[in-house]
Amino acid sequence: MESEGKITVAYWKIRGLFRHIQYVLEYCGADYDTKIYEAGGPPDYCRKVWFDNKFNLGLDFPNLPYLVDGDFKMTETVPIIFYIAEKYKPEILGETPQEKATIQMLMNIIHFEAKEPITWDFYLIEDRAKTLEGAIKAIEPIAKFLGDKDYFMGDKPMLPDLHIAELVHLVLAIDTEGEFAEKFPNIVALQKRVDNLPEIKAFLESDRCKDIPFHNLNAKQNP
Amino acid sequence: MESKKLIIGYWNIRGLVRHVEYVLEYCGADYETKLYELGDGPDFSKKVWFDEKFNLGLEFPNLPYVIDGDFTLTETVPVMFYVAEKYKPELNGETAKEKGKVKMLMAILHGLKWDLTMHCYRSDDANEGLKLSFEGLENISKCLGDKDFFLGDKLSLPDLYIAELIALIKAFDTENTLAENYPNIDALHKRVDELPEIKAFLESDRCKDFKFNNKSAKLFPS
Repeated sequence: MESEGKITVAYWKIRGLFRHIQYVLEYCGADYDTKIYEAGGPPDYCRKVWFDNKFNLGLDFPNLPYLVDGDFKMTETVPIIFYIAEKYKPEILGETPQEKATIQMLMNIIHFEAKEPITWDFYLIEDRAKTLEGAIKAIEPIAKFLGDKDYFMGDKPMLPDLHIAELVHLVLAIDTEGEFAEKFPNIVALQKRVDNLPEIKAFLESDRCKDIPFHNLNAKQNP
Repeated sequence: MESKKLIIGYWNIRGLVRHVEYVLEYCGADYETKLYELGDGPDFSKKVWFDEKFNLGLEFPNLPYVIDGDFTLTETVPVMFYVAEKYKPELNGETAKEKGKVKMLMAILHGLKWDLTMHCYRSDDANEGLKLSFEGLENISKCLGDKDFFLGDKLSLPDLYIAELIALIKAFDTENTLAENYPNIDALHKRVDELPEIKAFLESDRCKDFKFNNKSAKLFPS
């Protein structure tokens, strides 16, 4: 029987959406283990290992990632991230209704207006330059919001800071001419600042931070 | 200092804003709407919105928006959570697990709304819209089961959200097959619309007789 309060988070054997969740798990000091599904390689990129289990796990809306906490189960990446923060470090979700709302809006923008379309480009197109152009366009309003602040909400790290860090890693992986870094020095500085938080630094140096690809093997670009 | 009215900005359609209105009305919020009308075809000009879009102090300018004194916000689901948080926070769930379930359901419901709305702008095939609807409703109906509301016997944000989504699905459903296929979903729709605050809203002149979609849509256009 699993230990009291220990949560399980499941995903593919890739950084994908999971590394974003791990930043929050680690920053919040959550007690967790992982369940990893490994998709096959070329030519089929077989996902049977997941599909064989998908409908037998008691998930209301079966998908990856999923989270299990005792008899509580959930899916949907951003709600999962909010759940972990709510359970272990609710202060990173904001205090006032206005702060909470701004954080939710930022999470929406970072995840659905940036992470998601950028990720689609990695899977569907081979053109690195076009992918980078899309990333620059998506990050521009986010960089404007950050301005010259240390963190999105001011001087303390909150959920959106943790969420954007991994996305910046992904974009920098294709920023071969340094165009992104030059346009958004504040965003790159934020990513470094987050990676230097003691909990994150410890995670990045640990064996919990696996050296695995960003995407599944069927992606056209996989730095 | 007296509280000012919330201002909600949107197109003059039901679209995403009727979902927000359900929350505003249930919470008894003091609000007014600022409506933008899309230009006629074939251009369907957004000029009336674009003229204001970057001058409202919005960090990520979009519709719908809310302006609450000095505070501004966009993104439909965060807007709904904000209204609930401000006036009736229990709608967002009380324990971490309830909050998690509420957030997951809102993501699922909003995802389905998005898919069905995209269909309306691309296609005039109502039957296909209904097919997509029922595919999406399958797991939602199982999740609700025989409970009165998604969290059991107390109302939360997804219950208020789904009512307008079901109204859209019923518009595809020209043969009225929803009740026999998903009786619990039909019952939830009726249960929410019978809440005193919602019933009063639906009978008031604040509930405008708008179409679901903008003029450029192929299904249910203005």
